[in-house]
Amino acid sequence: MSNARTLALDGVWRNNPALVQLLGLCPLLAVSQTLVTSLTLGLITLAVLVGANTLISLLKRTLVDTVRLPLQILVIATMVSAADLLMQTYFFELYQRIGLFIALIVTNCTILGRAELFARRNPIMASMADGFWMGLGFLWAITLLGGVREVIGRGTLFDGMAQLLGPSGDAWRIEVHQSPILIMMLAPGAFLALGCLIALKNCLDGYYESRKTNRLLEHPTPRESNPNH
Amino acid sequence: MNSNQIMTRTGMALIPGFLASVWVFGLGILLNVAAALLAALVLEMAYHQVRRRPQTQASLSSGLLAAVLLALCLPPMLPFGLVVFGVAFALIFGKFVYGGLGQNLFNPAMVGYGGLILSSPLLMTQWLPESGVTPSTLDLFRIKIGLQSLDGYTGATALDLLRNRQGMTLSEYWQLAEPVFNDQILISLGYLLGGIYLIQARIISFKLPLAMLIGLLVPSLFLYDAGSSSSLGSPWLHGLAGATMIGAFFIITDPVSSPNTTQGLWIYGLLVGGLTFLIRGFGAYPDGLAFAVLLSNAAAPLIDRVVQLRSERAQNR
Repeated sequence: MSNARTLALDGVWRNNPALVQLLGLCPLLAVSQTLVTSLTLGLITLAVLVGANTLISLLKRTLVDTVRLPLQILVIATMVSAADLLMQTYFFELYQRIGLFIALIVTNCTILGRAELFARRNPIMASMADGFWMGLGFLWAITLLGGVREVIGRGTLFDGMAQLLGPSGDAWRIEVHQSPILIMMLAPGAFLALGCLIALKNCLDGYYESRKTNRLLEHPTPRESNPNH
Repeated sequence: MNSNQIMTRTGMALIPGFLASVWVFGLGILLNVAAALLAALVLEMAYHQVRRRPQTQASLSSGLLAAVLLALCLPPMLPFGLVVFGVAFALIFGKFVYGGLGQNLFNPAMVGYGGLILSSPLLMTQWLPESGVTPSTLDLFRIKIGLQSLDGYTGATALDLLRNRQGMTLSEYWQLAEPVFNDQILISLGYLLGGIYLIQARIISFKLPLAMLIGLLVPSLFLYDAGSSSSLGSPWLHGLAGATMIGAFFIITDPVSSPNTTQGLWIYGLLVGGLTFLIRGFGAYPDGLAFAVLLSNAAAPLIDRVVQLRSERAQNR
């Protein structure tokens, strides 16, 4: 398997920052009330991750080893401040809803984790790819979580899309049902939904694994059935 | 005595309180219990099918007991859908996700109650009124399956009235709350009777209920404030209103989610009682027992650990 494919598979599924590494739980749980807020936070995290990984990979020879953690945080904070200002300019309504958590992206362990574990030892292109795939992994996890919580807890989907897409976004709104279960909007609901999502992923992994072993048992490859050949 | 017999006897001990509830609140309680039992039966069977584990009597009876305990805490006119939701929440997130009988950290019935009161706080606090206007059996069925709104039939509980009495002194409050509270006394005495049977049959120890009542009643005695407008309620009220009695004898005595050490039991009981009083007095919900039990459940392993460490240290000295 090529290096690029490993990076993609790791970030999106096998080593997913939200579902396997369980990093960045604070924004994951706090902002995932609706699909729109989750999508926004996921996209901004993705952008920050790519930017921070690229910058740190560029600076890897300059960063003094003994104080590298504060320096990495400074680089990340720069990216986050830029994202914060951009969001205030273009999506002010949305900023009023989740602005606090944009600034808190600095403390998202996924980003520092990737800088420390990957970007400071790898070339620029690989670091960019790693940031992109890890960000994508976080993005789909938080978006799915937000969608599930919005459907169960509010009975709608894509509510408030206009804040992201302009007036045309209102057409996205879907009314799913009339009996919202309020607990999904509150903190316990976030933990429950995340737990179920992790369980589902592990279940799928287990199913895939057992099918692979079954296939090997039923149709052994010639070399395995005949080691002396 | 095996755990199956223990749970059967605990179920029997609930009968006086259950009959008193049916006497006071009518058919609705009976329907709640029946719906909860049916839902728990189906869920337990489905769980053992899905997980491919043999169905044991003990697991089934513990699930049914949790469902009954939850149902006895629910208002009589709660729609069937919510009763089933509560039982499903209790068993799935209170028991099955931990791996079934004996593994759970939290009391399943209170997990279900917490889920319900966070999901529909309004419906969960609508009890039958003191005025005595009860719906006919047909109307009750229509309300339970969601065809009719329950406006006009509902009233508050004594603890609800206490919270929202807006500057009344306690003697003014009593004039309002007395009919509701008199009903509550009957139910609480029913549970007390069942609890005394359980202690006498050595199924539960007297320590937990006693510790919880001390934790609840002693603070209320000090903050009773001679019944002024800022009083937090008399010990008499706190002891017999709401879920105090069913909580003290049937809910916190769940052997799985309470501590194992003797000292731990005292601390745990005091903690439940004290937290209940705090949540009733200052929290956002009128009856705090469910949240007090859940918080104390979370603390139970820590309590056990601290007690064990202290006794080890004392021995080594």
